[in-house]
Amino acid sequence: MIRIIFALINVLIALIIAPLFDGIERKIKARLQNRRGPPILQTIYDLGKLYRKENIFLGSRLHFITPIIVFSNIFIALLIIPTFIPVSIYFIGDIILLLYLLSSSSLFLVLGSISSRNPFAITGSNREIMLSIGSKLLLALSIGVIVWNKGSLLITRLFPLVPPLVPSSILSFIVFIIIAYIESMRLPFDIPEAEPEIAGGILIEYSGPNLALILHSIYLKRILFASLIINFLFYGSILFPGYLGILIYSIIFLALLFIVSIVFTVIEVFCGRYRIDHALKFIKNLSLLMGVIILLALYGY
Amino acid sequence: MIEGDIVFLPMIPLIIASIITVSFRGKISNYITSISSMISCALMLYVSYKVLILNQVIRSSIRIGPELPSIPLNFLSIRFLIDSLSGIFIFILGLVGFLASLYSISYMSRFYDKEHLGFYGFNYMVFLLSMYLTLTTRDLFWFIIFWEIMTLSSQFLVSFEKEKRRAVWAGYKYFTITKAGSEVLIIGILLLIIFYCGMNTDFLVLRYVMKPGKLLNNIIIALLFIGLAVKASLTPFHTWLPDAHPEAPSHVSALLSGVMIKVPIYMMFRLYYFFFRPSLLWGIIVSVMGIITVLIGAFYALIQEDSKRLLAYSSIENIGIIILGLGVSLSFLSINNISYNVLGAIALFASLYHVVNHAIYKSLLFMVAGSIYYRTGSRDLDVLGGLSKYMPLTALAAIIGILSITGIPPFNGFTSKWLLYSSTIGSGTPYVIMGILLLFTGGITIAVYIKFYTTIFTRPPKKPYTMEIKESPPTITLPLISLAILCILFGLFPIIPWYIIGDFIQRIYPLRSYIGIYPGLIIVPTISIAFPFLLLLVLASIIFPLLFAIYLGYRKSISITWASGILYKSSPMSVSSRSYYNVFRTIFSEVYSIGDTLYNIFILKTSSALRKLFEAIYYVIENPPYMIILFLLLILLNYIILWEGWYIID
Repeated sequence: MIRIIFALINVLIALIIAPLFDGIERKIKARLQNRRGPPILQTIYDLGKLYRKENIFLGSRLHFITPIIVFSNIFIALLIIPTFIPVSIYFIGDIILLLYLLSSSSLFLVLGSISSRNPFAITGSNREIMLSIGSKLLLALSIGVIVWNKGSLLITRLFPLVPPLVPSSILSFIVFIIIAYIESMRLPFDIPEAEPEIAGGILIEYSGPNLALILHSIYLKRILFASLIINFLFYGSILFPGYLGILIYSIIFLALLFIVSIVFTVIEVFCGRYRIDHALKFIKNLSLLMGVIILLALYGY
Repeated sequence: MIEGDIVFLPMIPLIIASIITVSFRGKISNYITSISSMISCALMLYVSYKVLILNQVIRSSIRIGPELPSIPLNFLSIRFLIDSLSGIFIFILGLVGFLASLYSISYMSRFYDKEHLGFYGFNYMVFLLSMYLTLTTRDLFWFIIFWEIMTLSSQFLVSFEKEKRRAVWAGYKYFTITKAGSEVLIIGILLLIIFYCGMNTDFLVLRYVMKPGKLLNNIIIALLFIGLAVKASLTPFHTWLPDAHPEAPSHVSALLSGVMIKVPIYMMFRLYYFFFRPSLLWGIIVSVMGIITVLIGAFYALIQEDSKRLLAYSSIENIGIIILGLGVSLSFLSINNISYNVLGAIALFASLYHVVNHAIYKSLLFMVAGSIYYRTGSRDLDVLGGLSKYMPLTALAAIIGILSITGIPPFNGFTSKWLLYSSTIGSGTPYVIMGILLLFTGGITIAVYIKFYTTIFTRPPKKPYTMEIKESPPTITLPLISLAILCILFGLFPIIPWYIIGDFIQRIYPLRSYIGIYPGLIIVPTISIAFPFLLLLVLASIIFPLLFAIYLGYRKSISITWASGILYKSSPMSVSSRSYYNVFRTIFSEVYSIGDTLYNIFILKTSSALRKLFEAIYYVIENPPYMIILFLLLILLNYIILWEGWYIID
């Protein structure tokens, strides 16, 4: 029971931290581009405002309801992985549930977005789904190799990465970082929304609380992938006994999340947007590399 | 009535009604067909209940000719056996057959004045009957006869709409390719007869006459496997399916996809688990075939522009998943190691679970496509669109079917796929690669069904419909809704499919006695969903309505779609189905070229080689001297076999 409460506390912290991180990222981006930038709390203000606005019904129930489903998918996915407090709700094979929750969220996002019948939304959804096939390929390959080397389907047993020091594991972890970057809809890969090009793409017909829920779930997804990266590197190695230890752990975890976020932001500033075919070609080349990594794993390296 | 004669119960309505129905046309014959098939399918469900729940093994036989000393006994009497394996498939047949027959009552009303429904009814019932007989017979000799009747009758159903050139051509293609496959099957059975069992091709005899570890065994297995694989549409031989399944009436497509392509799978289970022992070699071959089928099916489903053709390719993919499960279970059960064996049993569970699930959701989706065809008269994804407003029940059923087939938790597709993932990715053997590829195709399947749903239901149609469109009649929506409910039940309560398939798995491997070894999504001893997963579901089901309730409290304003400031026009602003995933198609064009190459090699080249072979045979037949030599050789061969004492009559 304690475990469930802690897992829920984890997600609640993430609910607040996620938009805060986005605010910080916006500030950093602005400073790097010699702009002043909005205040750090700006994203939280935005979300608060959006949550309080009226909801717009376009005549499609699917379009109206999907943001809730997307949000609850990401919410449940966050319960599975240990974040600030190193507890989670787990069972063998939860890594597969995690992958399916992620693809379920993108399925519903796209279904809802296309239901709005907006041409921009249809274009954006088309791109989103192609990108998600590609990242799903990479995700399956890299997580598969890591699971193969660790020999367990339990998420918490996959952390940390290192004890079997095998090249294939480390290489696929690097690929995993790239996927985390792709999945968090950052600049070379924000093709589905592409503000200047297709005016928000999949998000175009959403407004008010609907938009807030989708944006919130995107921020949560960023936290999710970043904490997976951190767990792969440091899980269990910085945990001290006692409640104080847990507190210290959470603070260190937060700091590490911050570092990941800064690194990703800095990369983002230096990138222009990919065209969808370039992005897919990039993913394809990366998956060919993953083929080589799988061969390495096959021979026990 | 003797206990075993329950086998004959489902046959009686079909046999009587199929004779009556030919003499009628139109409405009457359709009603006779539907109602008698429904009665018969309900009886099949009763038979499977007897076998699966009450754990009876039903044996029976029927004498069809006088006893003559010179003719082997099994030619003159058909022997039946329904055990826990055939029970599973009879359950599917009964379930899908019942709902499909209910569905056909209004669906076939489209064709009252166009086609001769008497012939359709006759073929439909012969098709059901032959599937039932194929699943119940315990003799390879009768199996192949019923198998051919099944092919023949379903071929007439495929080319049901006679004036459509495509339908006739698809039926022809289907018949020729599967007939070629069954020739291979016949050669395999002949080799069995010559070298092992004589004319006594009873399943129980086959199990004991086999001597393991011979090259001949593998040749026979290979021939039988290829013969079955053609009908099950494994990859190099799958090309008939996407042509044949769409052309049939939708409830027949549901039967073809949900049940008929499972009949060869039933035989594969018999072949590998009853006639021969599981072996690592065949495990690898079968699972590699399975994963190739999965990939090709998924990739080709992505680029289809016809709703039922898309579903047909998706059927190929799902057959691949089932075969993959079979292969994994074969190889893990052949290894002498307890943890691998448990994984193998789980893969077996996954495979059969997926058989049941696929029967449910694929027939649901075919019936959805049929419901749309019934109202709009079109299957073209470019013509259709915006139907969720007019057909809400169909749309709801379609959504549930899609969530099941893409494996969104907690629907049934997820549970069976999860079992397969845990036995492949969790095994730590090279089978991990297959699990990874399967995960990847999960992503493609999502793309496929997003295309399916959005083009049919949400995206506005290119041209407004000329006819009035409303929800389909209740006989069409009722099967849809009941299948959708089954999709949810089978996902949330794995104990239901365990009742159906558990007996067979326990017979192969006592999975249930390994308490606590495998606490996963499904707890093995109780076959219920694991507590943490249930907890997550409960949490999700709290969060979702909570958010929704908050939502309802919001001020809601109704608006229209924004189209850059101009009035919304559907035709220039919707995307054609061809341009969905166009970029993906060009980037991953290598996969498609591999698929086309396979088609070239296995279908075009093979068929031209076969043509040359048959031309040579005709040449021999037309020239008496060659014919006499061939005849003498055959007699000589026969004597050699007799002399060696292989020719056993029991």
